[in-house]
Amino acid sequence: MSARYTIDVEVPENLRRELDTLAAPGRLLTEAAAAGVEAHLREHFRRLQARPRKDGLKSTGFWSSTDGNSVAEQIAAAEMISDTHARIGIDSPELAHKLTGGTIRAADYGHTYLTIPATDRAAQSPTGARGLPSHIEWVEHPDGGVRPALVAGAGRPQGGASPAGAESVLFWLVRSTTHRPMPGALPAEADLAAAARESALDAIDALLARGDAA
Amino acid sequence: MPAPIEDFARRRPVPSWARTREWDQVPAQLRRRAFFSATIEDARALSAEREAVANLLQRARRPDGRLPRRDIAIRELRDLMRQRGLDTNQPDALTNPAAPARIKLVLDVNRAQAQNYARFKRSSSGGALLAFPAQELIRERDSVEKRPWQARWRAAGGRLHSGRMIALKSDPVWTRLSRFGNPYPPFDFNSGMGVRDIPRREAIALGVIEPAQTQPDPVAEDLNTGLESSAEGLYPGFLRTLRSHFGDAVALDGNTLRFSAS
Repeated sequence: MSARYTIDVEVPENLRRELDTLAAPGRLLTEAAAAGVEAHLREHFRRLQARPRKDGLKSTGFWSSTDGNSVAEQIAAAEMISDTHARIGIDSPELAHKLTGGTIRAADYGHTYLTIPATDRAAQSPTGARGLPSHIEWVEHPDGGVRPALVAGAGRPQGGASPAGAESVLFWLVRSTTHRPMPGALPAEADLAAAARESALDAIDALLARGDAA
Repeated sequence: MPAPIEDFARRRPVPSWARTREWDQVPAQLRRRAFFSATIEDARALSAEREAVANLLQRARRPDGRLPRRDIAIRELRDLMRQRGLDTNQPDALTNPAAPARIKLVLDVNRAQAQNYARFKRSSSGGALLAFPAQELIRERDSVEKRPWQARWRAAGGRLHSGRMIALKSDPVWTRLSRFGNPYPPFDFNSGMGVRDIPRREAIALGVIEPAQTQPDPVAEDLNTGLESSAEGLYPGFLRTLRSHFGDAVALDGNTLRFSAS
């Protein structure tokens, strides 16, 4: 599965005609349209980022952030295919997984378990599960059943100590996790087209103000 | 348009014992061309950090076929710092080169600077600048302790438009706002602030730009800013280190450290 999603931006015929009245190269209009699409993508990812997480934990900046790790920060510069055609790429395996859904298996990565954070401290750990002193215990899960978990503390308490409760779990351990596709991970095509058009019109307005009209 | 990795690849590794305070005294244009990590004089350790940033930027697959991950990079760098004897045994101190929080900061700041420089270049020229002549300083990520950004904005000469921190992309407020002297994010260490492009029609409606006004094209970074700084208190050894990496481009004139970008 490719981890790169691309969005093609083509200047509509009617705008090309308007452009023909200007003495500026058509490339400017396409650059403006591509910038409009990029700005709309960023706004979309900000809105997704603002939604609370389903597990109630603090955000880790999956969609939009400032540490270079988020989906929004993987938007690449528009590749100019021609003067009227640009292509915007998003190099993000995380976005690809959101769009297609699917099952992630620990075995596919050479691991026995995947770690699912249970606390903010765990979710925010810069080195993941290995960064926090913990040990494995079987713990009653709030949803029922007893499951393996990484519990805070370097070793299991000795001598008749009570078994760990769910409140002391840092990470739940699972063999695999399955996600449904998230169609809204990207904006609707119509919205992207509108953003491209608005930005192209803004560029024409600026060119006219600059006196670039033929 | 340059990809983030292209700009980053041009940065020269500069191993030095200099602390953040000393690096802050170096002209911004020179800092932008250097890869450094405060107090790391160990060339191998610095090189490993640089390589980790480059791998994260390129998303180049590792030898085992997997994509690079920040948490793994942090662990590997922590282990290397320990092997090189750089661990000060202060697990959470940002002054400890082996502390995960410190390594995360180095990776995040350098990666974000490279990504935002590339974004700045493409959004500040051609059609992108025509359509989006201004930008807004916004909170992109929540922070536990928030800095007083509106006060910093005003102190940097920024104006509020309907209560929002918006300015033309060519406005010097962006460079003045930045701890690093860059007109693009990040504007400080561990900062959650970023920028949002403001379209021409909104900029006109908010009074940021006149209807008949356009910006010079391209904006590009002002090459006349950040070329010199006060060398007051800088140790001669640090100046020698800079000269050994940048040659005659670095000159000391009295108490002024000059860098010739050309």
